[in-house]
Amino acid sequence: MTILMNKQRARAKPQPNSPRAGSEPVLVIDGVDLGYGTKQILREVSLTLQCGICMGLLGPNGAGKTTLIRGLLGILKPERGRITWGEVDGEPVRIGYVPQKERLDSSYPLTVTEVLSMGVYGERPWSPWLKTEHRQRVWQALESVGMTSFAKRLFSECSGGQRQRILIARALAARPNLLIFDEPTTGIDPASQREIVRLLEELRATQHLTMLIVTQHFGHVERLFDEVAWVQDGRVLVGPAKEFLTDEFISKAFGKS
Amino acid sequence: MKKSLAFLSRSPLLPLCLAGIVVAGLVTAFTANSPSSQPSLPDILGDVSSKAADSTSTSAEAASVAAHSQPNATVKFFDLFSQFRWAVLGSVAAAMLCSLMGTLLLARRMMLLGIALPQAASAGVTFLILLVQLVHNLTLAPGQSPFIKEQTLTTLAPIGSLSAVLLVLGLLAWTEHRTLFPEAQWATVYIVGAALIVLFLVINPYGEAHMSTILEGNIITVTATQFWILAAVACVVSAVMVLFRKELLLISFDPDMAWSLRFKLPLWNGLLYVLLGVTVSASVMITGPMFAFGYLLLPPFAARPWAVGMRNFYMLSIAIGVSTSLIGCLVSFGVNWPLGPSQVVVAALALAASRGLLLLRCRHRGI
Repeated sequence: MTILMNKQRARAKPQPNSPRAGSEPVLVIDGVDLGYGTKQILREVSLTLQCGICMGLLGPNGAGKTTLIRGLLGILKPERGRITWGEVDGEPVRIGYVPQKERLDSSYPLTVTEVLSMGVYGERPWSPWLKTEHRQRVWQALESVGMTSFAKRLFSECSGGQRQRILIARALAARPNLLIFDEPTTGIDPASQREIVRLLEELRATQHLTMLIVTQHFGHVERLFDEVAWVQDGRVLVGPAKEFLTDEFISKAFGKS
Repeated sequence: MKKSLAFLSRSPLLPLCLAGIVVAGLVTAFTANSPSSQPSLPDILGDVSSKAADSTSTSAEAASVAAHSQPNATVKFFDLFSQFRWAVLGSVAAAMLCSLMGTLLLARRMMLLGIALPQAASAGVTFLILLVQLVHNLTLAPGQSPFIKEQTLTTLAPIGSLSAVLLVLGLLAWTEHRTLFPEAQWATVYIVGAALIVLFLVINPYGEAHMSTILEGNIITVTATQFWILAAVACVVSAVMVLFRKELLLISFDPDMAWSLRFKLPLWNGLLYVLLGVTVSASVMITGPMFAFGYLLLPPFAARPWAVGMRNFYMLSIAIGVSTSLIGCLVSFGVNWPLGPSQVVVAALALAASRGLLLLRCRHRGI
């Protein structure tokens, strides 16, 4: 098995899975250190995410996957190095972020439509109301995940699988080029997990989206990956998915037989 | 027509318009019924105003004093409303403001901050007045009263209150990402604030007698000026909350998503904290910490189980806040109870009713 170290990553050829795959980098992380205050979590992280590629960000609990995502979203500033966002079709990359559903507080009495509308909030600054065009796009996003009958329901009353679909729809409403998922199949029953993965496959096939999926649960989602970024002990190793997702590597990394 | 109604029902302005109509209606009614355009409480009570201004006095006591001072006047129930219209209007405006801001506090699970900030506001007032008293003592001329003028205290109080609240919120915002225990920080603000109030009052030999009214915020003594200040604050805060409702909701509900959409979170959090600070300090100065905290918590808490959507939540919370404050006035005038506590108790009863109905609904559904 060949696992490429950070700086060798540039030589790795992405597996083309869409018309634009590998054509241009959506994201370049170059020698980035990330941490909280004096506690450094990730050191010298370097990776490139090409357009149309689905990359799995894997690793055991507490390895620093969420820290890396927080760095990408701009919540944490790199102590060293650079994070550069590329362009897609001459426009800056638009991110669609799908958080862990457990992170969203059920104390808000938000309807499904209100949650979805948040996806277009960035396009209507300084106005409390949305345009008809935005409302239509929100409805289309809801349709694309097959949840239109839930539009007026409370988000907090939906099941785990339904919430995940709604959050994916919300990310789609932002018309993203890059979708970032944080543990999309955690806390969901196996049937719903399969549905979510099928939905993601469909999105890749129809919209050719670039995806970065954080997970530590294997079973369904890994079949989406073209590449894997393996996070462990503050370092990130990057390589083709087939070289990481072997029984031998997983059992060694997670200490499972 | 149908479209306009649909727009109105969706609009977050609706609850604010309704509250505005209620307040405008009350102002009109009271102004029409009053003998003069804007008589303040001291005008009504004459030379016994200081008695009524005592924090332990009740609205009905004050009214009976008023009746004795004007032997030919028949004090009717509605007249009490008319005489204390600024108190009624002030509490309605404060209830509306606190009920609106309380929705976000409740949803963000920051209620403890809601009780800590009024305490910080009171500590700020006592500290500023202590400073002024010390300066006054140093520059005291022979024969001059050692007491600071009531008007000076009333002017200084909002400055002390707002400064303390903004200072505390600034510190909390600064340490927000550096602590794992925000609740412990809010509780610290509460307890340190309470301790400082006692200390500042003890150090200031003339403070306690003057400041009890300011600290406890005797609603019954609200003047026309105080009401209009509170109304202006309510208008500005509500307008900002309506204008930036999307941003304030997103940064509260899903800050990570807000980052991904390139929202400047520190800026929006700062705006929310400023709104909260202004709301708390204005409400505390005019209605007292108990009323302010009571209405930050109880109406949103009562409204939450019945709200479907955030607009609905705002609307219900404001409706409960405004109606319970008005009913509280009725109770206070009717059974001779202090105004502020009566209103808080009525709001608590609304919460109990809401919980009771929720229980019934759950049983009905077999949950």
